[in-house]
Amino acid sequence: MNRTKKIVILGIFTAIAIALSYIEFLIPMSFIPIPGFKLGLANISIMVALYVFGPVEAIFVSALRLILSLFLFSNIKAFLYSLLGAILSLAVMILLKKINKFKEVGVSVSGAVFHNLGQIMAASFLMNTVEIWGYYPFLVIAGVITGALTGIILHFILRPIKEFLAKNSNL
Amino acid sequence: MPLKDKRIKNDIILIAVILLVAVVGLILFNSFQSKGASVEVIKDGKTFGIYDLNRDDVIDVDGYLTVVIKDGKVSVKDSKCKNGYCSSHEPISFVGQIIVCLPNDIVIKITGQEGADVVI
Repeated sequence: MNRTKKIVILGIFTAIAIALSYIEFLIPMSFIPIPGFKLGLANISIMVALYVFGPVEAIFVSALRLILSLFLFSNIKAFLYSLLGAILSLAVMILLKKINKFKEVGVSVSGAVFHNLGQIMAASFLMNTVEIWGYYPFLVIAGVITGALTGIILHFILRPIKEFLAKNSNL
Repeated sequence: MPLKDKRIKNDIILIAVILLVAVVGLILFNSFQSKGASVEVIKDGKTFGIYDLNRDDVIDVDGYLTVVIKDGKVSVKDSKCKNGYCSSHEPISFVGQIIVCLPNDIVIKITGQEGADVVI
C-alpha cells in the first residue's frame, strides 16, 4: 500500500473515531450512575487501525482523535483523564495483540479496563481524592461489558475491512 | 482450529479473573465502614470547606451545586451539570464515601476526624 493511500485510510479511521466519540457524547448515559462511564465506541476505530496496520498507526489515530475531540466537544480536564486512559489502554492492547494469546474480545476488554485505570489515576490526582478509587470496581465491571461488546463488533467488521483493502489494493 | 479455540478460552479466563478481582475489591472496599465525623468539599482539587457531619447545614458551592447535611447524612441538590449523577446519588455517611460531580470538578467526601483524616 502506498503512502498516500495509507494516509487517506487512517484519516477515515480517525474521522470514524471522532464520529463515534460524538455519538457517545450525544447519548445520555445518566441511567448508569457511575461517574466517568463511557461506551468506548471510538476504541473500535483505534482497534481496527491496530489490527489492519499496526501499533504506530493505532497510536496515530488515537492521538488525533483525542486532540480533535478536545477542540470539538470536550474540556481540558476530560482530555487529561482520556489521555492517561488512552496511553495505558493502547499500551496493553498493543502488548496483548503482539503476544497473540487472546482474541479481539480479550484485547478489547483489557483495553477498556486499563482505560478506566488511567481515568481513575488522573481523577484521583487532579481531584485530590484517593477515595475515588472506590468507583474503580464498578468501572471495571462496566468496562468488561462494553469492552466485550466492542470486541465482538471488531471481530465481525475486521474481515470485511481487510478483504476490502486487499481487493482495492490497486487503487 | 486449535489456536483459535485456545484464544477464546484465554479470553473467557481473562474476563472471569478481571470480574473476580473487581468483585473482591468491591467487597473489601465496602467491609471497612465506620461512621464519619465531618464532610470535606473539594473543588478543583483544593479544599473548599470542611463541615461537621452532625450539624444540619446547607452549603452553596460557588453556585455550582448545593450540599445538604441532614441527620448525619450528606446529599447534593440543584447541580448545574449535564448528567446529574451527583444529585441522584443516595445520601452518604460513612468514612471514605464520596459523591463526585465530574463536570463541576467537585468531590464531597466523608472523613473521620475533623479534617485530620489523611488516607494514603
